[in-house]
Amino acid sequence: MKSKNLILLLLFAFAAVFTGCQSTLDKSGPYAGDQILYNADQTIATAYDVLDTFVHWEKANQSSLPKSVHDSAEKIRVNAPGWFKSATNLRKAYVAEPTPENRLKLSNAVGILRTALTEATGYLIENNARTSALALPGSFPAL
Amino acid sequence: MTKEEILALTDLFLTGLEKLGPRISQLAQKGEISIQQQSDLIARMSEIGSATAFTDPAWQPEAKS
Repeated sequence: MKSKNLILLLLFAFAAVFTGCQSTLDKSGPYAGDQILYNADQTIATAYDVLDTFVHWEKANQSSLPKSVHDSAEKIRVNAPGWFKSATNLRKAYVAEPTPENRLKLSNAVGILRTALTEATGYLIENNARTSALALPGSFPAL
Repeated sequence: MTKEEILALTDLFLTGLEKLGPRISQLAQKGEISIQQQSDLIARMSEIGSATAFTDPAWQPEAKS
């Protein structure tokens, strides 16, 4: 069951980030058709959930995982707080002043999170079978 | 993971959307999200930006010798 939950979590992450990028927002909706802002919000929230799961999983299963997974987790532990801070600050700047320059900065910050999300998800999928179960973050919907 | 594998996983996931709650349902609405869903996302980002988001022991890097 836990493995099933993990797979659903990962599928959720992919769907949230990649499907979100392809959808078209209603111009009369709360985002006023601003796909960049919507993608940023979706990616920031999803990336935190997945990276949080990843670092917990890696810590719980360190002895049975390849060094590359540990190195990736350490890189995330060191850098992710800054990545999220930068992304949320640039989001605020873009909301206050939606210029092309601010849009580009926000897109770049979100791209960094998306890269980390993809890397962590890849390691989770590759190595899930050899590890113990992990708990889903509380923010995820009940399955 | 290849793009094809990601797309295959996404397709598989999208077949079970109905079971996965409100955060997922916004994806099924082709981008037509509600004010409540936007508020939920913004609240989530506020949590992520809070001082406690990275204090769990699992988030602490190994001490370098």
